[in-house]
Amino acid sequence: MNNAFNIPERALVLGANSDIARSTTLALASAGTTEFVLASRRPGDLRPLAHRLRAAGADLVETVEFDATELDTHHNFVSATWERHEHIDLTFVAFGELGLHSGAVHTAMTNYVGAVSILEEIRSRLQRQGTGTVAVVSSVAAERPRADNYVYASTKAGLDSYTRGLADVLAPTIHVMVVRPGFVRSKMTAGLDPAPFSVDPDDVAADIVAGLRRRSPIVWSPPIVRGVMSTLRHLPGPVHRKITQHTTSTPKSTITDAFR
Amino acid sequence: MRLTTPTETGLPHDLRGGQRTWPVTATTISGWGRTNPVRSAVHHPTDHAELEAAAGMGPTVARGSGRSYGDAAQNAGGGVIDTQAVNRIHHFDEQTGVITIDAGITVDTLLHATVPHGWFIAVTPGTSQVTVGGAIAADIHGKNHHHDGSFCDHVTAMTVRTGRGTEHLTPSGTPEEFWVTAGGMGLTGVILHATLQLRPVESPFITATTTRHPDLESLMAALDVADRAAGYSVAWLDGLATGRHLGRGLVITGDHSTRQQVEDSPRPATPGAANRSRSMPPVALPIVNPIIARGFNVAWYRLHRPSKQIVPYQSFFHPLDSVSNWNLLYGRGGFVQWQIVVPDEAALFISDALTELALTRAGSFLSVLKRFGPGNPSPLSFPMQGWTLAVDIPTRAPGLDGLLRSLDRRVAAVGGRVYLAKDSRLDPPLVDAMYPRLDEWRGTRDEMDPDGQFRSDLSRRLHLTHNKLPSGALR
Repeated sequence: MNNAFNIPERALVLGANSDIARSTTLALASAGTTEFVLASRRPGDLRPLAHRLRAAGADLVETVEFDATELDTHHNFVSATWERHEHIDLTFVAFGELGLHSGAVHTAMTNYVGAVSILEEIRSRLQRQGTGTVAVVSSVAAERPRADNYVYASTKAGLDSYTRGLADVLAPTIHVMVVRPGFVRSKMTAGLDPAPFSVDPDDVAADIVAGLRRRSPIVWSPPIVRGVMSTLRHLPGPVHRKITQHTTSTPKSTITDAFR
Repeated sequence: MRLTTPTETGLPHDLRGGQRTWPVTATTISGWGRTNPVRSAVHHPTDHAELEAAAGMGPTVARGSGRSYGDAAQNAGGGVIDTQAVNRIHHFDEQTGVITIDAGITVDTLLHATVPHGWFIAVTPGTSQVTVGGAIAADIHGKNHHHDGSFCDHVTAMTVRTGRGTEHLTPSGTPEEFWVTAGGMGLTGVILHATLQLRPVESPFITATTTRHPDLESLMAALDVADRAAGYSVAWLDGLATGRHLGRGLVITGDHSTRQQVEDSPRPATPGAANRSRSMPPVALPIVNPIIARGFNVAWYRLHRPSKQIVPYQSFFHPLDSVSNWNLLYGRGGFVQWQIVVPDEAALFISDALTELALTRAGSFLSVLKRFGPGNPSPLSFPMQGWTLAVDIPTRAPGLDGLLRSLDRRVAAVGGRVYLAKDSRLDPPLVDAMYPRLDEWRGTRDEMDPDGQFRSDLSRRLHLTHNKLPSGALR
């Protein structure tokens, strides 16, 4: 169960191999979370994280296979998870790809369709268990697309909007939180030049745990990007294009699959 | 007659065992601290037969007035049985002061019925709004613990709908079941009625004294003396004072006034005066901030002059009841009440804890310190010989979670414990250390609830029961 500070006892992490997921699970373990269900396309890669979580005091760490794009597996995935665990206190959606080379449709399938599919399955479980928290990693890019990330930005805009709507559906019992990180220096962005106000996955994790404690509807990480995006969002198109050309760079060709 | 189907509640807590004849609503509920609201199927039985039937529709937990601070009387996704409508007095012997009542009756209602006949409840907590069922489940204590023990020491019998059926429990006939239910946080079943031994009083008044003490050492020494001199004693302290003022506060003592004392009193008090309850607007405004809390604490300390006066029992025992929903003062995020007891030999811990809590600058209205007498045979009962401290703090206070976790570890290390009826955030592994007879309690509880019909969010969060739930309960 969640405690008075909304720290979950048991967390389900979808996309557990992402750097933000890794940092966040470790932050949760030190805040008192003792059970983790870690899900990833490559559960074998989760072994080091599972080991670190156990060392940090976790009683139970499960690693399971989950592919956001395999929509017809989602129902059984959720049934099996809730079968093994009577309730899940925190569902953390951390999967997603920048989609530099995987194609626009694949990115849309993963980041938006896949997330909506699994969250709709989870929604009915949460309504029945009558308690819980959902945290979904969106992006500041959801606020305004740029030429170099517009597919990614559009998927996050859709996911962001879906998540805020889900928050209204599940309020006041179940807390649903949108996480909007700025540029995170992580595997997903390896090879890109960091944008201004860039952060590390550990910074995002700290902001997420603080957001859980406050039951925040939206977490900006770092908090200052809220003001930055608010300004950018209202700029006229030509001005926005000019600014973003100066502050972001084109991806290097070494990136093939940013999402792990 | 209204039938409610599971689709109406939207929760899986369904119609096992036939149709219901009482209302059931899917409701978001929380404890008095307003942290962690959850959705439960809340049953509203209207009479004894319905209450008994509802208790057989597990997984459920009984809920009285909802005055537990944490998650003891809530059950996310499961059933909660609201006992308040079943609140009759069955038998009251005015000669012996023995009363048999439904568990849903509040202490307030009970006192209104018995005080005019010269009988008072043996143990009352700081609010009269708790039900007798809740008082038994938490084995509550009052300002007279050092002389009279806790609530269940004065319960002579109770009827409980356990997982095995309806059972009549007495301390002599069924000691194990009786004492596992006493202080058992409602996890052995639904308490239907109870028989209490009341205490005789000559008037509805208390002869109360207030003394002021500038630091913790003198406050604790005064409480020590007061315990021998008076039947009731408690200290209210300024939880935000630091340095040489650390632990300054008021020692309040009292005894039931005799008829003679009331007659000799120069200013006859009016018994009804303290009875009016005001309520706040029903919105959670974070009025308790560090500045206001600091001002309140200083004013409370300064404005109370040493005195001796005759006051109505309500204003002595239940001062907070004068604002009916004061819990909203702590704002949207709610608050935690951290109540601990440490053995006499660890009394210095109280000073350490107050120092660290004051440093958080977290707004706390009043903190309470009291000396307990010895505990009773209940394995999960909170009181034990030593010092108990209770502090209210809003959850949004920075660093509070970590601070309380580290203080809890030290409480466990010195042989103390946290009060489960107040808890919403304890680390589960510490419960076994704080309540060394927990396994013994689990053994008898499991016998009384073989199919896992009773559970609460508290029992799941702290692993009090073995999570032996009907496997279909939450699918």
